[in-house]
Amino acid sequence: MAVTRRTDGHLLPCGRSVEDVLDNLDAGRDDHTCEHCATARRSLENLMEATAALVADPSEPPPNLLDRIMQAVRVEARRGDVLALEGADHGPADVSEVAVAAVLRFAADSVDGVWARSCHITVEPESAGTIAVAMTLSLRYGSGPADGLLGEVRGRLAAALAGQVGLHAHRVDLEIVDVWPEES
Amino acid sequence: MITPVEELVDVRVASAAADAARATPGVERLQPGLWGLVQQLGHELWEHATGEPYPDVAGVEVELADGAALVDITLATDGTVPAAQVAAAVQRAVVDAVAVRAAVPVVSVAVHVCEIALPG
Repeated sequence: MAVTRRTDGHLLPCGRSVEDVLDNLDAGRDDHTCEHCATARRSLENLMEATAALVADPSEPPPNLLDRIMQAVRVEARRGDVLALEGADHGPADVSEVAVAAVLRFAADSVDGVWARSCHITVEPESAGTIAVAMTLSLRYGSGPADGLLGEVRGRLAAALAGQVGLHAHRVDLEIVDVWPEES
Repeated sequence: MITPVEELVDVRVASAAADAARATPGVERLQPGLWGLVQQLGHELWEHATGEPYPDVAGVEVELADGAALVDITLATDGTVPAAQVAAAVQRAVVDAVAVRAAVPVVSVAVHVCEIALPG
């Protein structure tokens, strides 16, 4: 099975990049394929209008303007889904669900022979600071017994949640959805 | 309608909060949203036109009510410290910094972590 994934650019929660949305906007193509793309498109349209005077002046372009726009658009797209953080004494604190999912996928990918396909997080309303994680995985054939690999993934996920986020997962559901052949 | 004095207090509070948040271990950068970016670009135009520096407060929103401040900060962490710990440390640092530099009590510091840097 041939699989590719884009690692550059500014990814939206749906997996497409802000750059793709911008390309379609420039080309006049209508690509409202999901709410995230539509939000990013609206944000880009608003920002283009608001910064028209700046970008129309080629002699003094603000530094890294395009990258800054992409980051801002991505932040807007991530504002909706957040997880509350515990331990804050002077007001509310939260973290983007997309950011946490990225940390967890990276942690799973760090196990040799494992590739995280999707990551879904749900909040436990009865237990503050606790989440449930459902992740689908691909395994490389020949990397070792599946139960050993899944145990390693669970350990890496728990370590990443504690060390990089400050949350605890009371439940981690892992599902193997694909096996790909060992590379020659 | 915001008066010039209120605007000045607003900028002082935001500047103190931004500096304190950026200096907190584990904070990689403050991250403005779209409106913050538009404000930031406007400040750069103002600097270009006047030659005077404007404090970098992108990612920080301040609301003054009855002489006290409500601060809202969006930031990215560097992944070396748990985001929850970073958020709590930023709140404490901002409350202290705003009290010292702007002489304004802080009612609340809302911290939003929009990104956690991945290793490598």
